[in-house]
Amino acid sequence: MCLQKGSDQLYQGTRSVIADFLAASTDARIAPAFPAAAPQQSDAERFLRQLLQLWSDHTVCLCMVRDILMYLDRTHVKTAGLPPVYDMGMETFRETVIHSKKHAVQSALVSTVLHQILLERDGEAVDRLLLRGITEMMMMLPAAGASARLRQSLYDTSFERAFLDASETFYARESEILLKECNAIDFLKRAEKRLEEEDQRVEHYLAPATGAKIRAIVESHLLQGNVTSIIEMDSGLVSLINNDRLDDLSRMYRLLGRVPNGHPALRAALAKFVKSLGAAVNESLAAIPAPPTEGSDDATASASPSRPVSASAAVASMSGVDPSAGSSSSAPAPTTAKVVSPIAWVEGMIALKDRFDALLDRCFMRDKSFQNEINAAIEVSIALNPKSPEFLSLFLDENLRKGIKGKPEEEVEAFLDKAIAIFRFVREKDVFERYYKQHLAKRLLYGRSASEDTEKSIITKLKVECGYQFISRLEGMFKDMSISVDLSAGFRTFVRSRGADGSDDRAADDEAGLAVEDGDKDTASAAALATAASHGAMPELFVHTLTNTFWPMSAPTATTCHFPAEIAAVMAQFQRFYMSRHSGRRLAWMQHMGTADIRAHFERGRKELSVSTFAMVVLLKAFNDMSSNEPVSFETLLAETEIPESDLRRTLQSLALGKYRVLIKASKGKDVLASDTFTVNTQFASPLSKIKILTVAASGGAASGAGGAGSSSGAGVGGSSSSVANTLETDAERSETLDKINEHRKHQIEAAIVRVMKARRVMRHSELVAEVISQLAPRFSPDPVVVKRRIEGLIEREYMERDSENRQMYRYLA
Amino acid sequence: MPPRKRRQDSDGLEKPKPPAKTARKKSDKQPSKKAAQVAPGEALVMLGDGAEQRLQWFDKYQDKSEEHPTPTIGPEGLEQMCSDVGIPIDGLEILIVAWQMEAKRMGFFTLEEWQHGMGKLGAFSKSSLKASLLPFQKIHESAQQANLRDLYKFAFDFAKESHQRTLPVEMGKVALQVPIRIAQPLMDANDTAHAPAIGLWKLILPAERFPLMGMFLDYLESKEPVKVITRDQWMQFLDFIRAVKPNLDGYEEDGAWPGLLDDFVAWKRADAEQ
Repeated sequence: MCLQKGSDQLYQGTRSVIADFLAASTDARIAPAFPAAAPQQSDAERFLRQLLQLWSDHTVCLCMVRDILMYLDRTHVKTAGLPPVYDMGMETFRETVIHSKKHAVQSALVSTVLHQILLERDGEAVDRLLLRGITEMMMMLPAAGASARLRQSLYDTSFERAFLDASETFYARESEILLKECNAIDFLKRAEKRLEEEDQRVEHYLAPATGAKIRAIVESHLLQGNVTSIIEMDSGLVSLINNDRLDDLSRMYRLLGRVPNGHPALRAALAKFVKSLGAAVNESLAAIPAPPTEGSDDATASASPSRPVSASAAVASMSGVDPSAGSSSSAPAPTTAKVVSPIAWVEGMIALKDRFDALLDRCFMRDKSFQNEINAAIEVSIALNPKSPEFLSLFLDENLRKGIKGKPEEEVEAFLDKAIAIFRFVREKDVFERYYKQHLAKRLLYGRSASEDTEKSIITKLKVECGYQFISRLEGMFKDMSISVDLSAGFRTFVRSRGADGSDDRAADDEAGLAVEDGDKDTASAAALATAASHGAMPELFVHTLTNTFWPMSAPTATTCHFPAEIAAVMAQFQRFYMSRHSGRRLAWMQHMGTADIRAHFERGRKELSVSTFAMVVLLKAFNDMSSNEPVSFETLLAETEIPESDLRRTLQSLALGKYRVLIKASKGKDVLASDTFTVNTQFASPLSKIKILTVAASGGAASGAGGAGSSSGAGVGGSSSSVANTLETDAERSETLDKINEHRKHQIEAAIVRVMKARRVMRHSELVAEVISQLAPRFSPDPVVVKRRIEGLIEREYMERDSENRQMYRYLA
Repeated sequence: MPPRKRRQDSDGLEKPKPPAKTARKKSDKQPSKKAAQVAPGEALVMLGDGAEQRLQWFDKYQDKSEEHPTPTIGPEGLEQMCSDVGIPIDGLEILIVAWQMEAKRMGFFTLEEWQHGMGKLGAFSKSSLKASLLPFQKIHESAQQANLRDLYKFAFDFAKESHQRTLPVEMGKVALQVPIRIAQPLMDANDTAHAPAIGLWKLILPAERFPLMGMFLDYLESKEPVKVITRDQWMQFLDFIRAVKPNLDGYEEDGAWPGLLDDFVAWKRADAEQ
């Protein structure tokens, strides 16, 4: 036929035959199956099945027709610019069946399929294979009027849009229902399930391209619009964290991550929660009542001071870091109370950080931005406590003195790492350094440190954090300590080589201890504590020689008390010895830092007393060589010993009014008055042979503070309210410390300004301020206003000047 | 006349006074001659037109006592001169004269400064001085005037004690009322003259013309934030008054202004809010 020029006739003929047949079939097969307005499931399926049947019949036949008319396809169709026979057949199917003029097949088809989907969403089973066949049909049918190139199918043009619209309505409602009916946990579970369902649906019987679109719809309706509602529900973020619903939390993280506003909102809520917990840690301290003796000092403070009376049990329960603290046998509970509160605070912060680090690991996939947010929130909380540097240092002090005792190395190491993590959050690192130095000094001088290795390990960690400059002085302190050991050993040999002569007495023999200290141009020294020398020999002297610049305490201002001759002789000897080794140095004795072990003979036996240097002086000077136990007046003591009056008063309080009363005060009352007289308590008795008499703390005022446990093991004496223990500063001390720090900062700021200007020569004001602040950031965060004042100061002193043209530019003046 | 005589006195020489009228004709030569004859410190004295007249005029007020190493008009002479010319002793005019002279010490004009300043002004008598000051009357009409900055800068060094870096805000409460006295300076224990910053400000930047000045003085007087004014604060204030409007428009927080001015603005704003 083609050769007979019948091509066109054949083509058109084929078309009309197909069309006629399809029209007839539609009437016969599809129309009766037309679903009613509210279709029964079976009706719907029947309709779809009929349609599908017709479709598959059609495709099979069409293939055959195409094969038969292949020649036609090759010759006529190409030249005539007509669609190939197969495509023509498809179009005919679309026109006659789907777009049938007699029956609204298309709309019925779409609505039926949508209805099926709706049924499935509501949990009913549908014939997925059938649906798949239908959608495939729609995908294969080219859209009306679509050019071949776009290859848009009926699915694309008619179905998908309708499907998405229907979904949109469905999920908008769904979202409302869920919000009304579910708590956050279920909401998220349901949302997650919906997303899975839709994914499966796409996989089973929709076009892959629809997947992203439908997902977007579900996400936007179920999640995006409800982010804050979900997070802030009663069962939201806070309750999830509080109840450790880790899986639900990770679901929340996962799902909210799918919408753009999800994670930011989650982060913000998280930060808010962390801050509220941090504030709780800060407040819990304020809530603890201050002990009555100290109460008046604290009137001003709101968030911080607090020396809770409630004891060491709190430490143990709070921490988990320090389980031994409560059980540590000899630590006297009432006296340790003073340092508990800062410790509890730090432990609270550590616990907070641990908790959220764990969450980060478990639930937030270690998301960096979450980590930053959490850390920032903790940092803010820590900064809210103005005493955080002091607290942290006290915390370390407490643990270094006893907390870490007897723990395996890894545990100690882990503990240190946690402390350092908190240290990182402390903004005022210079303040921390100051306190740490003070506390370290006491640990070292009084031999209170539990482990030198741990001490050094901390120093190393601090070095990693803040650089060499930060710890150079701390290292210097350690160096001094080891030098002191050598020095004292050298001194012993020195003394021995000279021979010794002893001068002791019957009532109270002594071994001298005293605080030595000396300063010189770059090296100053020391506090000395002597330990028992053999009876009848010269008092033995152990001197800590301290470099002036390394140590926090300043050389005493002419507080020279009058030493007993024996002690004075040893001191002079040491001085000679030291000068022979290091000429040109200045040695200053720090009497108030020393301790002495004295052997005393009471009527009820011999005791070894460990007392402060001043107490030793009092005992030896006034009460040693008395054959008769005559009362000595306060005035006489003052004149003879030349100990500063306030120190003397405290010393006497500790000797006569403390737990161990070596002296007897004639009058009653807790205060030492100028008119009081004292005698030796010859009847003194105690089950212990070694007795430690600690000096009353200066701030304590009341005499009750003295005392402490002297066990033969010597462990656990620390922590009493003596000058040996490190305690919270009083407000007065604190403001003094702050003044010193501010003064110190001024110099640092100026040094930084000069450093920057020297390098840059010319610089804008704002840049200079920013650079200085960033340079100092590792140590503290300077106030821009203060930086500005320092710049003005430097202009005034002609280190720099304003540019004559641009007043915001500074020039460095060499 | 006496000036020469004095100089020769100080040289220990007694010479006849040169006739005043010939001096003018010889004016070209005289500087070098003088330099050769006279104390080294005066080598720079310029004798242009009217130099001789100025010399005579100077002589009229010169402090003849022996205490000055070089010919100098002292406070009494200055007061006399001011009243002769008809200008106040504590006014801007005399400050301008001192500025033109580049005078070093408040209350004293040396011959060298006299010749230099009066020469610049073209003044050689009280009437010509008065006339020559006329153009300066408007110097503070606008803060943008170029030579106002010069005058302003000069005033700081002129008013402060020579060994100090800063200018006291005020000298006790008295100085609060009495503006500075250029001619009759306040003398302190060391017999050095100086003026308080407040008085100087009132003189150079009168509050009627610079509302910010008035506010700033209120601030200084009521809050007493500082006791002394540094050079930077002094100079920056002129820039401040130029850059910032009385309603504080144009002020920027990070504008590198001295802290004192930041505090002032904060105070003013808090004040305005109430």
